[in-house]
Amino acid sequence: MINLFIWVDRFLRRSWDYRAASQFLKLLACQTIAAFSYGVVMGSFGEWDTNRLCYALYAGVKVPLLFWVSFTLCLPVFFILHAQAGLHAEFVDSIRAIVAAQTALTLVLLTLAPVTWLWYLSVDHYSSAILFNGLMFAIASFTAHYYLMHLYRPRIKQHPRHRILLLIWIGLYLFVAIQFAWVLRPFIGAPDTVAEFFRTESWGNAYVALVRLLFASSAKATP
Amino acid sequence: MTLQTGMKQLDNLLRGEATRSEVLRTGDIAIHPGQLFIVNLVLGMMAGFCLGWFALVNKQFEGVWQVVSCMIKVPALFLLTFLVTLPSLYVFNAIFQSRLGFWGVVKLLLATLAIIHALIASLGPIIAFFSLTTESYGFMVLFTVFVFGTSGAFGMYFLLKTLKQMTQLLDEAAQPTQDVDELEDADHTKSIKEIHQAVRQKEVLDHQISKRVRSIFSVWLLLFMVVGMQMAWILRPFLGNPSEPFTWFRARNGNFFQSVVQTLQGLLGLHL
Repeated sequence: MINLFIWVDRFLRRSWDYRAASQFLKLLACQTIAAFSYGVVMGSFGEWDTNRLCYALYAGVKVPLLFWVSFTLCLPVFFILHAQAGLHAEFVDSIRAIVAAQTALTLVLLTLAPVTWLWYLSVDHYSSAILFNGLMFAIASFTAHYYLMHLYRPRIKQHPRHRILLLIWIGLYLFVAIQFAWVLRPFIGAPDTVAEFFRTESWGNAYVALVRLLFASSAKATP
Repeated sequence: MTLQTGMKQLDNLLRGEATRSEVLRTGDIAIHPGQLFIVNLVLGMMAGFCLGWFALVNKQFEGVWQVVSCMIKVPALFLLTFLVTLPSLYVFNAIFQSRLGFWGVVKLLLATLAIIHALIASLGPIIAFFSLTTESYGFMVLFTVFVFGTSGAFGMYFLLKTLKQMTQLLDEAAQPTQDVDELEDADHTKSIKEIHQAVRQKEVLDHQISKRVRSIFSVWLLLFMVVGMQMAWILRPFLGNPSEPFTWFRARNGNFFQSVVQTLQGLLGLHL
């Protein structure tokens, strides 16, 4: 246990080499456990019964799934772009840096789990629960971005093209993750609804829905 | 631990002895976590005792229960906030490289709580005085929120100041050796102009990083405040509404801000 804690501490302070192959599996295990734990807390909104337990477990599966599927979908393009930029030898290191940052993201989420749990205890609006989780994800993402930039700084100095590659990665990853999160709804699950892994009506496009929403509200505003 | 050693710890902390430059330079705070924990409990109970007076005046016998409940709830409020916010403070510290270890973070947070507790406990007699002389429940609620809020703000100020000081001192300690290394390198390869440029670039980079670190910590402070307020909201009632019977906890409804605004409106006679 203490060893694990020391390992996490060294990881967070970046006093280790992220390129070490021996760390890769540990990072994967660590981020899966952390994401699952946050997911369980995220899904535990409202009164506790078997239905809620299902929601909590589903959310526990969905959060790591969200990270992993978005990551995997973006990998091929990232590889091609590295090759195009003449940096294919550096591709593996880039992936390791990104996996490390993703692990940092899930660890920050895990430490924010008590705050989310407290919010659930004191507030009973479903929409405020959704907003609060959005805020927690935003905080974790910004922190992970800082972590990633720290790993990338020496690499960008060496090959400035890494900066463009990283920007493309972030843009693409967000684009895919938002859509995937839309498909995976509900993460929290409204009270008084039966727990189901996928919502039957949730298959659709997040961006189209967003445009429709904006269009509808602007149409209302101008009579 | 005698009362004397505990008070000595608190005194050192309040006078800034525990956070003077020589101590901070080692990346530590000169306090004993166990002793300070007990000091926190005692101060919280003292503050709770004073807070319970309003119910004691208004409800007589039932008020005794409110005093007991307050003496448990005030230390609980801060210690639960401590537990909920400790993991995230530690992770932020580690990622943003403030060089404070886990025990350092625990000590820093305990010290912050001790300062908040000391302030509330020192304002306790004033709360008790107002409880004796005021009938308005709304006024007492707002006054208590004000006391807790101001004390919390002071605590946050202490936390930020200590963190900033510590980062600066540790950076200063790390600086000379780096410069010597750079100069030695320079003898062989670089001209003086290049070193100046490199040092300047490093300064600009350090400045950018510390700016970012500060903005991230303001986000964490916001989180700490939200947690504190929500925790207080869950642990209600502290004062005990004179028109309602004594309860240990109230039903879960509304939120902190809504309630404060409503109380203010009620007190000013505004009904929007």
